[in-house]
Amino acid sequence: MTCDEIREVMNELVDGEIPEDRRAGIDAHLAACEDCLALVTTLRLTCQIYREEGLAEVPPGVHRRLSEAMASETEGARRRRPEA
Amino acid sequence: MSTDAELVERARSGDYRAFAVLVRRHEGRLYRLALGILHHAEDAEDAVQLALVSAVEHLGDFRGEWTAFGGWLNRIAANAALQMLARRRGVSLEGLGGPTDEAFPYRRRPPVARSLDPHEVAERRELQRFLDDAVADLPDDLRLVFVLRELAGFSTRETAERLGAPEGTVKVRLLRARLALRDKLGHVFRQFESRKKETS
Repeated sequence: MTCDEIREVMNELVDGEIPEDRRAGIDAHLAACEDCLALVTTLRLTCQIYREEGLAEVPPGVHRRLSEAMASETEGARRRRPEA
Repeated sequence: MSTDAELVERARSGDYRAFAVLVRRHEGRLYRLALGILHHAEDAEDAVQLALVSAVEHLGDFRGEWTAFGGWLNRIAANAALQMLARRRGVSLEGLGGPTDEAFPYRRRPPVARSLDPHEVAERRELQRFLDDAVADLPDDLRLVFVLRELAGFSTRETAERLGAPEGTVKVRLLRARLALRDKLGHVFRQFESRKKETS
């Protein structure tokens, strides 16, 4: 397998979506090619950092307005709810 | 701390205070997602609000596994933001569907286990902000593909349908976006490498 061929499946490699029957050839290339291994590793890290949950916070004003809007919306939904 | 499953169940039974807790838990991610798509703070806030209102109205329709609730919200917020973007650009809404037209299964990657050390969390938060800024600087076509694939959790096919682009184009744009962002983080990876060499 060549570096160009690795590049063609780079998205799938980053997403961990390589079909079982192609893994051996890819693994063998990555074990021998530092550049491709570094590329896959750093692309994966980039995506992991971007996707990580629980880090982002909304600006305080946005949180307040969303909370107020949702309080009003849920109050409306509660009133529309048929009595049990 | 209550799980999403417990909170959704309570909200569906009419305890809407539980929904407020869910909003607090998910609003940061939803706002980031909408901002990533719309690139406009006020529009992003409107899209999240529309999505949450829609979620309240359709809580009874939620049929997924409880752990997929966050993914369900992601898709509602992404669809709301895309509709807003389409209106802003004056293009057809065909293919975007309604905010909750989404069928299951929700494609959601399992969360990555991370250290809770406050310094490390602050460092990762800083990196994520840096990446958010870098994403905002990407050309529109790359930004949309990247955000829909990475944050909304859409597959390549779903992303292609929403953007009206061939799947091959989506794949090319995704890789270009990923490479551009990885290059922006180059200094971080170099520091990481030199730290690794120092400790080995």
